[in-house]
Amino acid sequence: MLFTLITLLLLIEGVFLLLRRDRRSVFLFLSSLSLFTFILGILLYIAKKGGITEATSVLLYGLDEIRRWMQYRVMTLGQLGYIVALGRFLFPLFILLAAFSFSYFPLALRMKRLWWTLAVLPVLSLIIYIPPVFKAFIAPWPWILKAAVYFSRTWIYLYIAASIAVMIHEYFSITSSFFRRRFITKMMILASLAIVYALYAPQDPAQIYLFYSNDYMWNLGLWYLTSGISDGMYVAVMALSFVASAAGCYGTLRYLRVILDDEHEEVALRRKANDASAGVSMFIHGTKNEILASRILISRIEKNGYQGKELDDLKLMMDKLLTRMERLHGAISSRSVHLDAVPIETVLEEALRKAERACPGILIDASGFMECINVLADTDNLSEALSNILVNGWEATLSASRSDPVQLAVSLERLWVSITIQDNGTGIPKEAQHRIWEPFYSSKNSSSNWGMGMYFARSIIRMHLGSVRFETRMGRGTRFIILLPRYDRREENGCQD
Amino acid sequence: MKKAIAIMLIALVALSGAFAGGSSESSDGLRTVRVAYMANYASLWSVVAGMRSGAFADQGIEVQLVEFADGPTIIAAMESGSIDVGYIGHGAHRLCINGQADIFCFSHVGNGDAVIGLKSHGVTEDPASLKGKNVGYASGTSSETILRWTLEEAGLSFDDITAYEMDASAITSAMTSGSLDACATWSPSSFTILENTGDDAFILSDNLTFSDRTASIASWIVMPSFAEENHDLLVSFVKGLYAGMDYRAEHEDEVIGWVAEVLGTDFDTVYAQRGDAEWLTSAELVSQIEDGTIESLYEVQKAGFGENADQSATIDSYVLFDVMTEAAS
Repeated sequence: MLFTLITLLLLIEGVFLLLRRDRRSVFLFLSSLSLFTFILGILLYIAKKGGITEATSVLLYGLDEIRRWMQYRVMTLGQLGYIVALGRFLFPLFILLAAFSFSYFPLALRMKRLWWTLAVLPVLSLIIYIPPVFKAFIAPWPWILKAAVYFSRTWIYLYIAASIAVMIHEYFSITSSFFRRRFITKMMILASLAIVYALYAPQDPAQIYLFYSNDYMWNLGLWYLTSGISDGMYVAVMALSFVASAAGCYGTLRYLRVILDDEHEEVALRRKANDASAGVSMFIHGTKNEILASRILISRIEKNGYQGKELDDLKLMMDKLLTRMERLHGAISSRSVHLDAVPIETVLEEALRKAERACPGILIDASGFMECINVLADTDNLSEALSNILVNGWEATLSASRSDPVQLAVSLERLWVSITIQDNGTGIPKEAQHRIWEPFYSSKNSSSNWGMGMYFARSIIRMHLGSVRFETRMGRGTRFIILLPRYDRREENGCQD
Repeated sequence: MKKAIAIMLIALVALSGAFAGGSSESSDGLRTVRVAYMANYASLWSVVAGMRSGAFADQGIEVQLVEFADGPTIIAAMESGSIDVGYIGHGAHRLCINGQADIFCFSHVGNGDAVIGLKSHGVTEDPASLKGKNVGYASGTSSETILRWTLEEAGLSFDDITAYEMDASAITSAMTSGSLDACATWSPSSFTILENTGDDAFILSDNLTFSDRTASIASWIVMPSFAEENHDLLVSFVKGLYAGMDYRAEHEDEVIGWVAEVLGTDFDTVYAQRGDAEWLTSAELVSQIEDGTIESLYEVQKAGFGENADQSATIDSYVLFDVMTEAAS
């Protein structure tokens, strides 16, 4: 059963690697692979060595046939011992590298570049435990054997402790509760792998090389027969392994689901935009021609000497309609952005101006912008996108018969600039949550709203290599969180920490 | 997810309760004794006969069997407290001589260790034919001892063969599949190999070949501290073993069937192992204790270990003859 869970975990991490193909997924997969190798070696060893009750056998192997099959596998003790050594000495390295890959504090960033320094101890141990080397230089002298066993045990526990410390440090470095909650899933994956490993980590390959030797057993004890984890406690250890493995499977699946949902949403939105694009282009083209023709007619009426307020209103209406057509065209057609390093406050101030223009009387609480935070942005497009979300939030607040200002806040989240827009509206109903980014989707009954604002906002944010998510509670409002990569060239702005 | 974790934790608590145990009083008033055995007839013949015939229950003992692959591991398990008493073959007696465990009951003198060769791989009855061959053995056990002696007979050493250190189960599979040319192993692996390879496999040497050099004794052992604190329990346990020995003498086929059931194998496989040793009755054993035969066997065995065992240790310092004689009275 434990074997089944570990195999399942490896398969899930394999799928994760195929879908993501990034540094994190590689380290997670390698961690799972080394853990799988380690546990497989241990199960082979226990099957051959015996000493477990029938019930423990069921917990470890499931069917007795599997235990017997493992017991009679043909391999030398050197081969079996080195399988365990590979898993045992590589797992701490990969789990620590995975922890660093999830982290963004300065030491983690430095260690991502200096990862090879972490490989020194595992490689040294793997050399020492090469069967002929071990037999010639370690096994004959009990004190050297003892030293080698304690040396490897010490560093692997230090690596595991360091991995946990890195994840905890990273967790507390995150200020936003939204991102903290998301980070817990990643912590759960690594913690579950580390727990399963730590339970079996005392299983030194030397025990296998010296399979029938009493010296090792007498001096260091047999790990899986030690009094601390015998009988009921041993079952407890097994159960903890299952819980940890199951948690790891669940965590990875959850993480995978978030990624797949994101990718699926992106593909679906692109397809809908493409479907709409051709028809909308024809519609815009035709309408613009009609508007231009109308303006020519108005000019002729003016030349004929007709003046009046009605004519001015008509001209204004035509201009507004033309502007909206151009914006619609801009939203639906593929566009490029020109990215420059600009202070985020410049973008936000422009967004506030645009929101005020689009929705006179809008109330926005935007105090306390952080200075000297740069992002790579196309100010015009990005401010337009942000103003769309601000206006959307204000309209939601009004529709809830409230007049609390929309909250606009900026904070730093590791390598990202986080912009939070919180309204006090009615919240987004569950059935609408999957649709708010779609083109031409609007829940508002308004002739001035064509449902393109949020689609445009999302497209522009993603073109800035950023992301936008939201949390909503019915009757309590909605919070949009926009993440943009931080451009940190302080020397160019003369800013100091 | 929370529900699943809760269910697993409840199961964990339930299982922990179910498995907590050891040498303790069971619900029906019997004292539970955790007994380590190896998967062969020689290890089980007396204890299973005692269990199934009700002899242990008569002594107020419930036996809980736990399978092991080898004697040193059994001693390590006893040291950790997860096992109360255990059965060991010849090789692990070195640990008893060196003071790491006490023998509280003699079992038998066996003939289970053997060096087996495959004719189709060029191995002949001449031990010199092992030169250059791939030979599997279990390092640190009687398998290594009998292989070394066999090689010495032909003036060879381990340097003259390609030796593969393996566990007993892997040796069996490797010989059956023809991956090895020869091996040194013990019963019942030796029988499995002989049975599965037809006429191809043959015994090159066994314990009888070297009877002048050592006695391949098997015994029941216990930790010295456990023996001190549980003298009466050990006497009762030996009474159960004695009753089992005597029951086997009268009902050999029935006991073989019981052992086959415990091992999860067929009757014939166990039946083939009945010649592994001379199985004594309690009266014969007590008689051999009284006339000094058993003590002299242990002396021969100790001498056979040479410098690997503490030759200054006296037999009565690690063999509890008082338990064996008290159980007979």
